[in-house]
Amino acid sequence: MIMAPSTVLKLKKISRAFGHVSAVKSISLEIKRGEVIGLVGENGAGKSTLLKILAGVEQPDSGTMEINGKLVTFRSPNDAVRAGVGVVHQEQSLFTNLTVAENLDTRNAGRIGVKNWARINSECTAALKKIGVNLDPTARVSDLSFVDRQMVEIARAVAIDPNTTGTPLIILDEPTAVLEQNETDVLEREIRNLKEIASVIFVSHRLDEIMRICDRVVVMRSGKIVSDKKTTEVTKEDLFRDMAGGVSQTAHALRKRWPAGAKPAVEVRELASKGKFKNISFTARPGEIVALVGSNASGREAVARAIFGAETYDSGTIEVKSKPVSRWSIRKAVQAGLAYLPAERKVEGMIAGLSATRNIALVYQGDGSSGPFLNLSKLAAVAQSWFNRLDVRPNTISRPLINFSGGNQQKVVLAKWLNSPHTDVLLLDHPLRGLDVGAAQTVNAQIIKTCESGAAVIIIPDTIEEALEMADEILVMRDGEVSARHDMRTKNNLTVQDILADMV
Amino acid sequence: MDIKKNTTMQAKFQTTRRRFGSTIMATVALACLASSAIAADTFKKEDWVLVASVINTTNPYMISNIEGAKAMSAKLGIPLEIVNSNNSSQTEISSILAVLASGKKPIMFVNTVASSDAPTIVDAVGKAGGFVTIWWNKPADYHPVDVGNHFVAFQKHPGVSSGRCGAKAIGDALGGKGGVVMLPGVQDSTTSQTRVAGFEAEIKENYPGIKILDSRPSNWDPQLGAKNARDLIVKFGSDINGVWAADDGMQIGAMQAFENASLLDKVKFASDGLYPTTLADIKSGRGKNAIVGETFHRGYMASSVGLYTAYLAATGQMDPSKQPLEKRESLFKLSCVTPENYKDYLKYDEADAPAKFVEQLEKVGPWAAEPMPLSGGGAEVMPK
Amino acid sequence: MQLVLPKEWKGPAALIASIVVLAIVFTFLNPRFGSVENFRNILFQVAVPLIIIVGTTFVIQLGSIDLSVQGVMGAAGMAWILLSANTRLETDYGIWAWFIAIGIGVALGLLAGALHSLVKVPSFVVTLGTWYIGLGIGIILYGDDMLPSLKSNVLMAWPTKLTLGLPNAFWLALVILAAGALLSRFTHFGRGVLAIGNSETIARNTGMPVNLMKIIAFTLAGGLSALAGILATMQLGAGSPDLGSGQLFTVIPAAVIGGTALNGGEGGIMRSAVGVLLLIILNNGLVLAGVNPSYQSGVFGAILIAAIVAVARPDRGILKIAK
Repeated sequence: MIMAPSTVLKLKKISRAFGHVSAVKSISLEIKRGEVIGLVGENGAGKSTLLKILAGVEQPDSGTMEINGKLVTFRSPNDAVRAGVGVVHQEQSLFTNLTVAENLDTRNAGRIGVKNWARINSECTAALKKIGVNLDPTARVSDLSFVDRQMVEIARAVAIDPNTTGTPLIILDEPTAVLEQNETDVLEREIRNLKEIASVIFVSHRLDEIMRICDRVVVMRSGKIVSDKKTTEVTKEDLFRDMAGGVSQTAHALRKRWPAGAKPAVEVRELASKGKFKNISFTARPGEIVALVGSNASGREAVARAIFGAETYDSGTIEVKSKPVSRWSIRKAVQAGLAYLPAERKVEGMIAGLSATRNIALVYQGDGSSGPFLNLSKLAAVAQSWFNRLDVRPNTISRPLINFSGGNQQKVVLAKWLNSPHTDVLLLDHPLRGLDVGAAQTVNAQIIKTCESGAAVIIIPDTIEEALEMADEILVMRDGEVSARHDMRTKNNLTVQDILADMV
Repeated sequence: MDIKKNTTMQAKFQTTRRRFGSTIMATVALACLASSAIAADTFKKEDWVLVASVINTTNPYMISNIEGAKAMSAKLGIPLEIVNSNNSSQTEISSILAVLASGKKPIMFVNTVASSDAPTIVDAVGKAGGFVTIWWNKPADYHPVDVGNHFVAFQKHPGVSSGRCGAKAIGDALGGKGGVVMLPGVQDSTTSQTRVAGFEAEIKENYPGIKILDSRPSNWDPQLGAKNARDLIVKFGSDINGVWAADDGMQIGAMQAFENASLLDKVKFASDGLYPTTLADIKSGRGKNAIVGETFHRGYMASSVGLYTAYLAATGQMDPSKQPLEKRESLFKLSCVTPENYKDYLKYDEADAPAKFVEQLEKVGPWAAEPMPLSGGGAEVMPK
Repeated sequence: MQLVLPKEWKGPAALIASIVVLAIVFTFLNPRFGSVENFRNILFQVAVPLIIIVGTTFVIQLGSIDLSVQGVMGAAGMAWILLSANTRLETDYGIWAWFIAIGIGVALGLLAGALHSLVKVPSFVVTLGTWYIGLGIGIILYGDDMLPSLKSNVLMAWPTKLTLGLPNAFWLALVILAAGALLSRFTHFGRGVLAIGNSETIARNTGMPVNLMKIIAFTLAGGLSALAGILATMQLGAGSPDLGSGQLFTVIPAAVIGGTALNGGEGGIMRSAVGVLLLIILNNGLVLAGVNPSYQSGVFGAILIAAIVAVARPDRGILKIAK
């Protein structure tokens, strides 16, 4: 057996500019065999460009790249795949309508002839076995859970070419962003296994994970590497500081409390929907944050959607401001002052092709109209005030929303609801999904501010930490039922482990 | 005096006059006389263009329309523009407007796509100082005499007689007994409706032993005719003794369906148009003389009669307002063709037939040419 | 080995059930509906749309659309009849007539596919163009001469002739259908088409020959429309540039009823074929049941909508968007 070179990736002075903006400035980086590197940085720090260069999507303007000791130039993603670089994208790159095996079959991607199903399936089983995952090769990807899909992506990245003697380089671009806590645990375990056969670049906004999984952390800011240290030698606060450029911030702040006896804004009693959830009861009062915690299968999203009228329920009652609702629908919910920030922001939360101004004016045009007509200059003024308040970047309100980064899109979607003076119940489904630290802080601050001014908030957080930091009450859900309730006003020594214990 | 101005004025006059007394009628007639006298003096060929607007260029009838217009253009020495409507009223109207914008005054024949197109086209022609004859389709309450001289005439062959021809032929061939199925054209077209009414009336009045089993509109489409025929064969089997189609296109499809079902020689067919294919089938006696009745009329005759009528008005040789009603809303004779007399019509399909017909028109005028002299006027009377 | 995944059969099962229900109702209304004769009649009628829908399904699975069907049918049908023994010309090129006619369809499909994939013109527009080019070819070939009819009784009778109790036209369609289904399931092309329909970006990024696959799909569709044009000409015994009229609005709804999503990535050839069957049976049944022609269009539309709702209903959530 030939011993593979010990350096898997060697970048020398890689630069890439778009017009006058240089996205990546003279980056040099080395990754050894079996190393797991954490790559962090705020949105716009140049991470994505660097990853695209490694994946062959973008070509560097200058600098050299060596993989497994060989000098390489990637002209297309195919070149990168052949050299042994596998990318697991933030946005999943699987054909959801095809089978697992077909998605793993990159070797035949260029062909159009007869398909050897038996061989494709057996190769798939082998590839899955390699990373220790047990999935049916003939299953349709759309039937798989998110974490299983992530596994398929990893298997594909690893399976690249059984003939190369070099070590594959696996790039995981925010694989945990859409995963739940227990799924993340599975993924973390897998990444540790991967070290045996590959080197890994792991990109995440969650510093806790980075600290747990990675051997080394590389911080990028403004297109440069500003720090590259062993995980054991840095703290979370160091990383924060490096990312933000000196200032360390924490989101946690004590909120102004509302009197506990206020009339409930939303009261749910014995709510049940067959096959999704049952026996759900809780209240959310003005100035209160209720967090629904649980795994993907716990039914918490369905509860939030049922309250917003986006899904039907079979029995139980929902009372909004002490009035029971009947024939509940999204229209009625919005009229009653409910707002819903969906997890699938791009699909359900925004109209991508419209300008930010128009998106903000979707729900309420009261301040932006003259009589029955929309007053464009007033609309623009409203949008501008939200852009300033939420620090939306770039600060151009006329830009189509699709051209903003995820964090800034989320700010606009939030502004859409907050713009309406009627909004006094916020249903937030994964409000921080895919947001970098800076954007997450702005969004969180705005949520808290809205809450302080009298809105009731029902939140489905990404992480348990988020729930512990923000909520007044935590409802833990398991298999469609509430398995535990914690009043955070009286208990404040709760840990992530306590909650996890309720979840499984 | 400017002819264009004059005719438009007349048009305005005439559309508003209807209920006024005969004195005003007389005044208008005088005015017309004056204008036509001037027109006759000033008619210059180079100011005019012949326009023939057809529904499409895939139907044999439309192609024949174009042939007639070409023959007329050659005879009169006036250039010809063809408008292909591509089965669309929109295309028709916009193409006609484009031709009118060329600056020359039109002498026009229009085979309208839909009845409702007629007023728009007539108006536009009037404004361009031209003259138009509409064939086949116009709104029922829209009459040339109410509109003005620029709407020279509306002309057609009576659909009712077409239907009656077919009914007689089938009724006689079946000895007055048996079941027939009908394949009308596009269901809401006047042409199809009148032919159907004629067929049904003739059967009801004179062939009480003939039973109409079913009627399936087939949109003038041979494929649809074939498809409906196949379904009807399944539905009624050997109960079908006769098939009547509103035109030969659908009959061609239906005959193929019956042939495929090995029923062609047990069933009699009648239809309208005497297409060359149909003529060939009559000659060869296909399916034991399956075709028993047809009607004879040709597209080239319609277009040349239409254009010539408009031409006479344009040159001032004929004053539309002084013509009797049947020359403004005309029904032209339709000949019933049978396997016995088809030979009489072969000469009208020879290569030089359009030219000969045009020559004949020049001699006897648009209302007396064989084989389609004027047979009546006014709105077509539907049988009860 | 499993051929088709169970989930993919949920829709078709409901579809087949609705066909059975229709058949029972129609047989009740007119016992002749259930006769062997009508069974053959229906099979004869489905042949042409079945051949077309194989190509249509591939194209729709890509997320594109092929509107050129009727134009290609007209051009190929006219070319074929004029090159075979006919009443207008003294020519008879025999088997070459087939090659040339199908060649016209292939060329038009190739043109559409190339323009769509290489020049990135939306397929809707390109195929609208090739539709009219096809129609134009048909009209030019038609000229201003007489309607050409087939001379050969053998050719005219071939589609209706029974082999093993079923009309030849249907056997031809069945062969094409089976070949299409195999192509779809057992080639990289067939599955690649689905992949492209699911996400063209991912397909390009994984190095699939996306353009080539698109061109093949459109070329195939063109060639099959041409074959359908020849079959329809044979069935009619005469040529006409308008020969394909109405076919487009049979095959596209049929594909959608069969569960082929118009934005691509879903559906299958056999499912589309079941959709065709439903539409043809519906039309045939309404004639046999003696529904007044004035009401037939309306009744047809109402039953069609009911069938689609019945088939698709269980898959739709409140927030699912349909366009």
